[in-house]
Amino acid sequence: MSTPLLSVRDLEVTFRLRGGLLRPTRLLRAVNGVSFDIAPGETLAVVGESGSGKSTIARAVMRLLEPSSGRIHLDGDDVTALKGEALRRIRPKLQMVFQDPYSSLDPSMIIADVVGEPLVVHGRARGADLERRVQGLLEHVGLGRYHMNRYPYEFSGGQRQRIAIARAIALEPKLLVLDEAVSALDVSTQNQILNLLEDLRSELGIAYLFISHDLGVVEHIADRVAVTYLGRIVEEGPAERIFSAPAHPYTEALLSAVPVPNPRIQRSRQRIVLPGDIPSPLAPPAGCPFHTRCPHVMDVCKTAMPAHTPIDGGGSAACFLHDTGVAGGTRRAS
Amino acid sequence: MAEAMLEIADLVVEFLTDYGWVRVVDGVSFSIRPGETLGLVGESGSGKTVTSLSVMQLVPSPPGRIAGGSIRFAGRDLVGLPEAELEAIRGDDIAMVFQESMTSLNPAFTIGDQIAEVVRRHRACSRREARERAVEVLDLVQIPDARARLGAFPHEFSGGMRQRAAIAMALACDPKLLIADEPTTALDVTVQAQVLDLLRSLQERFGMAILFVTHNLGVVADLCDRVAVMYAGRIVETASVFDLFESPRHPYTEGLLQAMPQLGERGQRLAAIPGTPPMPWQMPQGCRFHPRCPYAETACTERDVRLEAVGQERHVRCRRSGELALAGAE
Repeated sequence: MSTPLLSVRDLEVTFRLRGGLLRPTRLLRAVNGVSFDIAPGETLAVVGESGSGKSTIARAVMRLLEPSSGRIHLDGDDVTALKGEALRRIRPKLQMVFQDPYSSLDPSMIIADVVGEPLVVHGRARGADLERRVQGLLEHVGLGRYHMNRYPYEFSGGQRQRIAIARAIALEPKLLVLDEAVSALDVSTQNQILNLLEDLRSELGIAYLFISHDLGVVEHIADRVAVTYLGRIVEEGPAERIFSAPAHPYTEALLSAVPVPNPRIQRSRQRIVLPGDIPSPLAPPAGCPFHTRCPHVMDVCKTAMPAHTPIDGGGSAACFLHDTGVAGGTRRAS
Repeated sequence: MAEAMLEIADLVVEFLTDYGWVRVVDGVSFSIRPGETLGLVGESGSGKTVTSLSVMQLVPSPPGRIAGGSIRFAGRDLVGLPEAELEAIRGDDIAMVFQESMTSLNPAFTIGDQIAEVVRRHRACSRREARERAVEVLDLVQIPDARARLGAFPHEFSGGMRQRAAIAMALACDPKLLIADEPTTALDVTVQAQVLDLLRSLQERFGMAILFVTHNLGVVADLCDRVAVMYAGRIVETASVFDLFESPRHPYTEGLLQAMPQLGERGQRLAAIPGTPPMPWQMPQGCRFHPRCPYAETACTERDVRLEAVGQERHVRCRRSGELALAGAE
C-alpha cells in the first residue's frame, strides 16, 4: 500500500463538562482510540448515529479542536504538533465543507469574495488573476460567472453548497473533510452535489473524509467505510464488503434499519430492530460499548473490550464473535 | 369502498410575503379512510407540512390564511369552525405528532402532567384516572417503567423516548386520525426503525387512520397504504403504495424514485432531477414541473394540467402520462 495521505493513530478527544452547584465537572470522551488511514484520492466514509463521535473526528483532523491524545499525520507532517505559522502553512492541504450551507457562508460577502478569500489569505492570487481563478472555480462547480456579484441569500441550498465546495477547493487541497455535507439537501439536489464530488475527485484527485449518517449516500461515494459507535470505530473495511457482508452486529443492524424504497422488498425482508437507545457518552457501558443493545451479547462482552480482528474480504471488526482467541466462536455470514 | 374519514377538497392556503399573497398550497384534494395510512410526500417547500397543519387549522395566521376549499372530517367542514369547537377536536379525535419532540413537549412540565392534561381536557375524569391513562399510554409506546417515568421532564428523555412520549400523548384520547409530520426525521435510523414498528403495531391494535407527512420514500415504502406526491403546492400523483413504486405515472415521481440512493447498488452515477423547485411567487406557466421535466413538450409549458383519474384509485397531473413508460423502483 502507498503511503497514506492522512494517518490517524489512537485519537482521543475528551470534553470537560463544567459542573455547577452540587454537580461535579464531568469528562465526556467523545472519541476513544480511533485509528484510520486515507490514501491519496481515496474516499473514507465515517458513519454513525448521533453521539458516535464522527463529527468530533472531523474537527480533530481539521485541528478545530485539540485531541487529548493520539497523532494525526497529513502528508508526512504531524498535524497535532504544529502551531502558528507552521500550522497555517499546511492548512491549504486540508479544507472542510459543513452541513448547513445557510450558516457556513458569510451573508454580507458577495460570492466572488467568499470563493476568493482563501486565495487572498494565503497570498495565492490578486487582482485580475484572482477574478479569473474565482470564475474558473465557480465553473468547476457548475455555477456561471454571472453569480459572482450576488449574495448568499440569493441562492438555493444546493447552490450554496456548490459555493462552499468552490471555496474549499480554491487552494487545491489534498484532503477535503465533508461533515454531513449533503444531509440538509433534498434528494434531487443531494444527488447533484454527490455527482459533483465524484467529478472533482476524478479531475483533481482529492481525497475525502466523508462524515455521514446516511448509509445510502455512503454506499455510493465511499471506497472504504468506518462505522463508529460511542466514540469508537467498531468496524472498518472496503465499502463493498461492509455493505454486502457486515461483520459487526451493529453494522448489520444499522444496514437493516435503513428502509428500502420499495414496498415489496421492504415489507418482506428480515429486519433487526435494536432494543433501547444509544447509551450516553457520559456513562458508556463497560466492555464492548454495543453490548447493551447487541442481539448476540455474550458474558465476555460485558467486561472486556474486543480488539479489532481482520475480516475476510478486507478490513476489521471489534467484536468477540470474530475474535476466535477469546470467545472461541465464529459467526455465520447472514 | 369505505367512506372517507377525512376529505380535503380544493384546499388553497396563502401566505402574505414581500411578493403579496402567495399560494403555497394550490387546490389540494385527497381523502383518507378509517384505518388507512396515507403518505403525503414531497421535498421542502412543496406544501406538504402546510397542508397537514391546515387540517387542524394550525396554519399561523397572520401571515397565513386558508383561502379556499374544504376539509371535511367525519362529515363536518373544519374550515372556519369556531376556535372552541376546534379545540374540542384537537388532541381528541385528531391528534398530531411533530418532527421535533424537544419543541413540541413543554420543557417546564413533567411528561405525566402533559399527558394527563390532554386526557382531562377531553374526558370527564379525575386527576387520578388521568394519570392512570398516562401510565397506560406510556406503556403502550414501550417506555420502560412507565409509572416511574411520569415525573420525568422532557430533557431527561433521549430523542427516541421523547418521540415515544409525544406519540403517547397523541394516543391519550384514542384519536380517529393521527397526523404525523416527519416524526422520524430527527431520529437515528435504528431508533427510526423502532418508532415505525411502534406506529404499525399501534395502528393494527387501534385502527386509527394516519396522515404521514415525509420526504423519505423508504419510510413510505415501509408504512403507507396509499401515497400522495406533492410538487410546488399541488398534488401531482396519488396511488396505492405498490402501484406508485412499481409504475409511477408522473415524471416527478419517477425522478424521486430514481434519485433514492438505494442500498445494494454501487458505483453508478446518481440520477438527479436537474434544477430546483420553483419559488411560490414565481410558479412556471403550464405544468409546474415542466422546467425540470425530461419529457416536457411545448404544450406542457402553455396550459395548466388538471389532476385526472387514471384507473382505480389513481390520479395523475401530467398530460403525457398515458404515453410515457416511466421507470419504477428496482
